[in-house]
Amino acid sequence: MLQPKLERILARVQKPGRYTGGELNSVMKRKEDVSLRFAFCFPDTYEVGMSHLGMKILYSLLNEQPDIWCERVFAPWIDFEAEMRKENLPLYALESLDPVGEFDIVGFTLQYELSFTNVLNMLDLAGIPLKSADRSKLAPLIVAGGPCACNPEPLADFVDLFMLGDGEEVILELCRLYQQAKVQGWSKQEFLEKACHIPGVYVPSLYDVSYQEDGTIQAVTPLQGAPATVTKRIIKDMDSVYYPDKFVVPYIETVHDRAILEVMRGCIRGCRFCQAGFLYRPLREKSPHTLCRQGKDLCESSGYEEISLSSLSTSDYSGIEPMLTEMMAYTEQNHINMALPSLRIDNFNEELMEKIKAVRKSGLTFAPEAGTQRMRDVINKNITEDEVMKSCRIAFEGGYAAVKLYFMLGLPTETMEDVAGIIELAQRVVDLFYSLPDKPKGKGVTVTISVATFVPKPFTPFQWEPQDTMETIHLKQHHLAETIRTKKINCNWHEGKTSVLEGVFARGDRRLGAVMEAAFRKGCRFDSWSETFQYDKWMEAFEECGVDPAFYANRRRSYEEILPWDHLDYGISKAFLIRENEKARAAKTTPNCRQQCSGCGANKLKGGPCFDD
Amino acid sequence: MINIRVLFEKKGRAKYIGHLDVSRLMQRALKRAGLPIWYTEGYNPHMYVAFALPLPLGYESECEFMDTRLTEQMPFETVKDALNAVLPEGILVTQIAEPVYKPSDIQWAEYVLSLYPEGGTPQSFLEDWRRFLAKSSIEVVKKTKKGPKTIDIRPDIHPLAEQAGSECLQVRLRLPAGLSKNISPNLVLDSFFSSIKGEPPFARVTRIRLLCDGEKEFA
Repeated sequence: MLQPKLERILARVQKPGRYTGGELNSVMKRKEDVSLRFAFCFPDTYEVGMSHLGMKILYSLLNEQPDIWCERVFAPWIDFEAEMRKENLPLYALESLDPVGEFDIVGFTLQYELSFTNVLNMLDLAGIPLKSADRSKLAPLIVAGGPCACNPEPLADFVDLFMLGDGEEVILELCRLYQQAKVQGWSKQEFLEKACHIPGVYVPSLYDVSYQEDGTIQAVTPLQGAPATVTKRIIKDMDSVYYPDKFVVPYIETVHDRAILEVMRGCIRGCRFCQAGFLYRPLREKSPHTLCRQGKDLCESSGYEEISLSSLSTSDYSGIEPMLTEMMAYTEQNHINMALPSLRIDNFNEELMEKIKAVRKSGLTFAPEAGTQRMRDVINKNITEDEVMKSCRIAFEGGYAAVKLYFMLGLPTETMEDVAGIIELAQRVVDLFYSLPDKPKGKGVTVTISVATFVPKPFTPFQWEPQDTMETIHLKQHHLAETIRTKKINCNWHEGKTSVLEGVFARGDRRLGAVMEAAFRKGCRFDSWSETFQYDKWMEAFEECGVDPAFYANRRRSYEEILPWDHLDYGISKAFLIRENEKARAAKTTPNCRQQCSGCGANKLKGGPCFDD
Repeated sequence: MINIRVLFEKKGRAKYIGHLDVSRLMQRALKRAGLPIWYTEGYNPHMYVAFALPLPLGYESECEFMDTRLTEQMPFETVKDALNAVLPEGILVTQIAEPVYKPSDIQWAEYVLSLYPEGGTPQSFLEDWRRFLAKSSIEVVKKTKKGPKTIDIRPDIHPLAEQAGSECLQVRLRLPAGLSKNISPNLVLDSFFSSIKGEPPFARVTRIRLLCDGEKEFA
């Protein structure tokens, strides 16, 4: 039963099902039976967080341990937050409904920069002091992981330690050390000085950062014997790594509510704008057989009616055909849909389309990313216009009359011709449709183009590049709109203000901690939600802290500059990133990892070549 | 193909599951239970399940039902046990039955309202409640498909019992329910709360019975 106070609050808020817990497959234990309580926090709403695979994996993995109880915590929406503050209800975990402040470890997953203020807000709602330095006791220990941990410096003031790379092994090693610390009564400092020797664990307070007069970093100095560089962890064998056979099944509708199969980690492509393509190297696949077993287990324990395949580029999975054949034998018999996102244009063929068509009749989505061949070569997208046209032709001849194309605006070296090229490409897709004798009868074509704003990210060849200013992005968006000549093309983009902030935090340093705290105190949170994003408050916070956002977003760095994340090692060598940056400037492409190894360095994490042959 | 009616309770945390979400939850439970559920034929086969009389979010119920179809005969107790083994906290199947009445035959629903006073006492609340019911007409604005409409709900409120306990006032009511006429307890509660002074009390509502014409039990 829920506490009466909570029940009364729930009667006054939208979607109370976000806050009640009790879902199927959620794990209940008795707190007396465990020696470590872990609050796994997703700094966004329930609906977003419950769709996230990493949280499901680590939640189940921790709860497999009889002496650990992991519970889920999400960011309350603003209506519930207002009630919590009014009624003095502290942030609680969804399983026990106990306050987060009572847990041993409070862990955040950092999926995007614009969720950082939610981390602060959740700590504050839990009654936990924001700054690491203001928390002298071991508990609660505030930890974080996820892709944004690759440059955690903006959060260095608040988070006690970060875990870099794949979490399955390091999170358990950390919990075991914590249990030892608890038994032996270590201080927080003692614990952190030992934890920094677990591979993949980065303790920011054990590194001193000094700055030069021009504001760039002078040196990052490890203290108390902390390692000079921290290397991310990887799981080498995807077939033997833990994977849940149960997902918590939400009651309310979430963004993705279905069985998810992780086909592989990493990507062979090396698209130069894509941080995930570098962060998750090297490529590691699961066998078709493992995937089919895991899919069946998940469907049987959840009753899900849909399985989705998750990876950075599903059609690059070497076992796709045997896997789909085996899987579809099961799914068709049991009335389960298969969803296949992340297909590439260059290996899209009739056979694959027939498999997709069997389950999905809506439109198809492709991602050329840029409108001209020169621009696609700069970003190493490695697809030609002929391939885009061929894929669209296959789709049209297969009965589809709607395609969606993804593009980016603000890429390095981009000119107004490249911007107009986006619309020109879409126009040629429209023309193609009407030129086909086998086009779907009685239908008009719709080409939807969705244009995102490019943000340079750490550990990519573009990590030194200036981001377009908001003014430039607005000019380019205006040029896009002017170039459209037909109603068959729908063009979507969003305003550039959030991209500015995303860019600042992606490549930011520790001096942004003060800005983040100031913005949070002014009421900034849910920055990725248009209804709650407060650009003006953010700009006030920058002003008050004497920090210039342009220094982080719009400045070109030299190759020699010490970058805030240089002491973190994701396997990718700086020499490789410099080579790739030079090739980008010369509009030269790099073959994918299966065609030829380009020596990025990530195979050292595996201890051997990425591919056998 | 065998038509069955699944009667179930929705209590505790499950009261925060909305009507459409209950439908999805039940379909997944039927799948997990491995029951031989009949799927519609055609291009996009789906499980046949039907619900009626959506329960407002936040209400508990002892008399929810879902109609579905099996492809083969099975003992009803087996169906019930298989479902209860896979249903989440708060949802409990009480009975599997052969449908006798159609959902459109439902005429009345009975509810227990538990009203927790903010200030005041359950006893003083009881007096307020009696004064409220003593009115000859209770006009409320009801949202309809054709826009808001003012109606008198007093003739439709059939009080069955009332009791002032130590913490709350409990009243039992019968209200019209079904396709032709439906009065939600929310309408009654809102007009009652606006007739009294002070903060509106916290209210728990449980639907306890569905009745057809002539007071015959629906289930």
